[in-house]
Amino acid sequence: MDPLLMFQSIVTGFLLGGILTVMTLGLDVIAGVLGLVNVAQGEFLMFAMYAAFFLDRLFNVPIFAMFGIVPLLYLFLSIPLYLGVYRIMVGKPASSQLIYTSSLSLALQNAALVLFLSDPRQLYNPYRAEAFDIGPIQLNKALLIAFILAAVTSIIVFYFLYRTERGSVIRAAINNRQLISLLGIDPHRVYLQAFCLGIVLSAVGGVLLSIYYPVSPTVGATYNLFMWVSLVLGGIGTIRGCLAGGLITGVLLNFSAVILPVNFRNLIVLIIFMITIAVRPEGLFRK
Amino acid sequence: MMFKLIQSIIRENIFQVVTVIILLILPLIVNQTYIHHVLTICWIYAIAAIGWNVCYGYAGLLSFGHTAFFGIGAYLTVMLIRAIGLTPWVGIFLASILTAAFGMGIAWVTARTRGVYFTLCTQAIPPVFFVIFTWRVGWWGEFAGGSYGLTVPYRGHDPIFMQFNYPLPYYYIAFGFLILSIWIVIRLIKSKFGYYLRAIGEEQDAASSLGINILRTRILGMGISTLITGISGAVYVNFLHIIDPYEAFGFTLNLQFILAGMLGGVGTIIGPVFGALLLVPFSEFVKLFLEQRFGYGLIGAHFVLYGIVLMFVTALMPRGLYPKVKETLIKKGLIRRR
Repeated sequence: MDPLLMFQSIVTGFLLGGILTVMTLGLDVIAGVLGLVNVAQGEFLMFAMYAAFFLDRLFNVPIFAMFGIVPLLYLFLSIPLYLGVYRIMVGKPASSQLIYTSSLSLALQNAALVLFLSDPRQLYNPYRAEAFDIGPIQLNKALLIAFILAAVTSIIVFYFLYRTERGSVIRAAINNRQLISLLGIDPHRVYLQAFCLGIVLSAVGGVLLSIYYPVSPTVGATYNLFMWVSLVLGGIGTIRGCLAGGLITGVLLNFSAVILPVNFRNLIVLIIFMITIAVRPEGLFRK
Repeated sequence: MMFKLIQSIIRENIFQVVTVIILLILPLIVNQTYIHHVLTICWIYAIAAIGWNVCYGYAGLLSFGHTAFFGIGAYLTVMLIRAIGLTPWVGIFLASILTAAFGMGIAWVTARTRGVYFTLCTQAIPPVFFVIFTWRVGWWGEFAGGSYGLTVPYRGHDPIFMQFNYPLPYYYIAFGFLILSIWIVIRLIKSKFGYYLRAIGEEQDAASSLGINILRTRILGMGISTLITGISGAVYVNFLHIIDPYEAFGFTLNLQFILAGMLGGVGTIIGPVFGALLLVPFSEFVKLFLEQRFGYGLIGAHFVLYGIVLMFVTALMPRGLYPKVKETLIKKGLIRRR
């Protein structure tokens, strides 16, 4: 094995991991605050990718504008979505929540199939074929842009969660959901805020992915799996763990694609996922 | 003596016996191939849903990976036919026992996980098998058929190899295996082990403190659950004569079992059958309706409907339709409570 190739794959995986981190943060905030593993998160991501694609194809919106438009759209949509669909599932048994959200995911995935057909679509952008040469390794421009935007988003989210009052309420809710109502905080308000944050982050993740990756109705399921892997590696309800989980998953995905036949790349990640759940269900970084 | 015993069994279970007799005569009265086909599929889904229900309804372990056991049961049956020419009459049992052994292995791996973690872990099983069964390299590619799947070698009308020219015999085969599965579940829940299983379904820690061996119970419970699901896959492939990885290890089939189980009644014996009887004809009707109205453009539309129905069922009656109907019938005095 060529060491240069391995290094290259690790660096590329790191860039993918940055995007995965943003996606996982959204899932993690919802799982932590609402106590609900949202299986349909991948489908929201997929719709955000389609939104980015159609904004580009129909209105020629530049990528940096999309980065604002799609999350804003999702912010407005997430409030009725929470009130109409998700609120009844808060506090229900985990099995009901899982069946509920996975059937929502089935409905959304097939709605996308009916609406957009099954052809993979790719947003046009000139950066996909260009790369920076840094010494012996190359960084794809599109992936690098996505990574930088993901890093900016993560910094904003971390600032929000660790430095603002509303953010610390959300972190308090992750720590102990019952206790926040004793502090005189309306829990449903916090749930709504956390849900909106999670959905907006899925929109950001979708836009970032669509910069480099093609979209088809089934991508939601694939990214769902990757998100869970990074969520479980980091530990459900640990915000800092997400950061590490996403990066590790990204690196693993790319690294195993280099050392194994291409269609085995998911296998390694899945097996690591299963072993992690079986051995350390609380995540690698929870004390 | 024997006659009296049979008489007393019939008298105690008059409702069940009449239902079985009606279902045995029904395909002879309604002699339409299409109806036979739909009902056969219905029984096969019912078997799978019963298997899933043993896991979720009794042991409280929500599995999103039961389609993998369905697929493995189906694949093993075809492989046995193709590799050593074993007749499906034996192959179905052998394949389901192998599936159960595999399911027990999975239960051993996931023994420490609970709740969401168990579900996430089982959700990862079908994609793993999808990767393995679409791998088309060397002898394995020949043996497992890659992404084209495997077909049962065609033999014409050959009852020894479970191949018939018309679907009526398959109806009886599937119905027989359905009765077998129901019998297994009845024996299970009436045994001591069944009480253990339901105890860990209610509250695992409490069950453990009473001295129930959690690991052993979970492994055996999962074994029975996957045995039944494996039977369903094996019957399915002998009926349709083809299995491919997209169907066997995809997510949609899995949700159909869950929908059948949820719709019918979680933790009841007959509930999943009830659910499958509602689900399969309904979905066939919707598919036909959409095709006639809109052509093939709306190919995924019935799944949208599935998803929405399942959401409503989960939100409004998480224990399913059958317990509600039963409660109403008891109130009206039509059946007795046991």
